[in-house]
Amino acid sequence: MMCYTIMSISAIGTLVWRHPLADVAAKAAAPLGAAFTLLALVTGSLWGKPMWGTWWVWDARLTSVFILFLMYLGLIALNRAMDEPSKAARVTAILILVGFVNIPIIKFSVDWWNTLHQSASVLRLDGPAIDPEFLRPLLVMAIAFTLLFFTLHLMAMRNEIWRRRIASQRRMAARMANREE
Amino acid sequence: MGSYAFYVYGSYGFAALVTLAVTLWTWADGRARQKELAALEAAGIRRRSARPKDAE
Repeated sequence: MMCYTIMSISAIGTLVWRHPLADVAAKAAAPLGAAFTLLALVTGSLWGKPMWGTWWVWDARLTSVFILFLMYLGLIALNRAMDEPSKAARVTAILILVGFVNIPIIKFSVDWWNTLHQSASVLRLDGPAIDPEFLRPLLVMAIAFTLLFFTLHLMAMRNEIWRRRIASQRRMAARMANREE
Repeated sequence: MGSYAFYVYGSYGFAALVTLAVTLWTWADGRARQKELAALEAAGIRRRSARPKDAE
């Protein structure tokens, strides 16, 4: 969800300010978001089997997170399907912003609908409902995975900048070769 | 741990697998791009800003 929110802010950067780095950030975040969401779905399912007695149910929380995973895959596919980078950036940015509607749905799905998934147990007005023995490692891992995401995102952004530099240098070399002929 | 062992170790295993895979993939992608840039540089194809002033 944090990854998708970063992508949405980047999408605004692409559409409003047309900043190339905004598109780089969105493009670099999508595969990471897909990997982290897959991780949440699979480990959640592994937790659900002994706790709920089932691997999967099509309740609002699980389904909306699964839609988030499909959104990431769709955005990656859409971006790669287009030849013209600036058009791909704009179209992808529009779809990212359309898909942002799913983020509050994921967060509040457990309050809005009757779900097998338990209601909010960490971010609550009356404090976390989880025993500190579980809450502490949960928060430590949440911080660790957030830091891992930002590290990988910066690395992936640098890779994307290099990729674009390579493409631009190849185009320049092709133009020079054409001029010499 | 008893009957929960499969679920607990399964979660650890899958988390380690995905974390490692995504880290290695990002790192390997960076290495490949660096090599490509070095090959272009060796072929004399450089960015305008990286070219020596007297070459322009």
